[in-house]
Amino acid sequence: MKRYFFELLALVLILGALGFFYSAIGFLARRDYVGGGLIAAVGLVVIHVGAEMARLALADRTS
Amino acid sequence: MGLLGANLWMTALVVPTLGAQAWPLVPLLLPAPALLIFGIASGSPPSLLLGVPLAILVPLGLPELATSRASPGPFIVAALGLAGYLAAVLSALARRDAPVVVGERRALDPVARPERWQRRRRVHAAAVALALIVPAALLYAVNLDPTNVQAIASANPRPESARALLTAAAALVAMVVFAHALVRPLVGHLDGDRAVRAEVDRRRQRSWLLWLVIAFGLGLAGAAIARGALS
Repeated sequence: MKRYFFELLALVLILGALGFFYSAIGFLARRDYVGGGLIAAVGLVVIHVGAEMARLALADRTS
Repeated sequence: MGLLGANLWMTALVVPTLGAQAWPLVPLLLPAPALLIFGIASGSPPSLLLGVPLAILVPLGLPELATSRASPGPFIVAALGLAGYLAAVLSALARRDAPVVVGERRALDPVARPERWQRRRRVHAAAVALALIVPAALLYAVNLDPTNVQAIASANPRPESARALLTAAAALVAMVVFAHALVRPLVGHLDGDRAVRAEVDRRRQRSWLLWLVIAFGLGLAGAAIARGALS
């Protein structure tokens, strides 16, 4: 299970960030720029963590 | 690559310009083939990947070509031509930069392939899939999602401009995601992941991050339970 952990987490986080961006577009479409910007910022943070998880998955040299 | 570039130039720029009889724009037809010839002769990636597409697409923003720009048929042909041209350029540049392989190449035995190699192949495949999914989902959200399309139409006095602006923003976000979240881990991996492994070693010694994540998760769960109890 551990060997799939980082890659699964990376995938979930990056796809989860996509949900934030999708939601941000909805806010921007309704001209709620503050809400859209905040949600997009949350998406960027989440995708940053996802990228770090992907790096860990690649760097893991076990087995 | 040259033929695809010429095809893109003809279909996306020459035909609309001559079709609209926009004769003052004829000089704008010349930079694209000049950049294409220069790029092929010198092997310049900026000229081929940036210069040629911009020289072809920027004139399409002029008011004289508004009719051809708004037609779905020419747009789809130009988009497919651009995708084919970019794929051909990237393939040619990758072949040019690839190291010369001396000796015989044989496929690996899938049974004997180490698990970590399989894991890396999975991560690479996921990065490729996400590079397609992310821009497609964002473009869908802006241009096709019924709720968003209706919201744009009702909340903006010029819906087409607002949608164009949001499409540009979505493209920008997709590029940031591609460069920051999908390519960066692979680039680090080519470097032997020295920076990542040093970071992992450092964090093993200070496992506060793990506890922080656990505390955050417990806090979220507690807040959800409290909200459910109070409502």
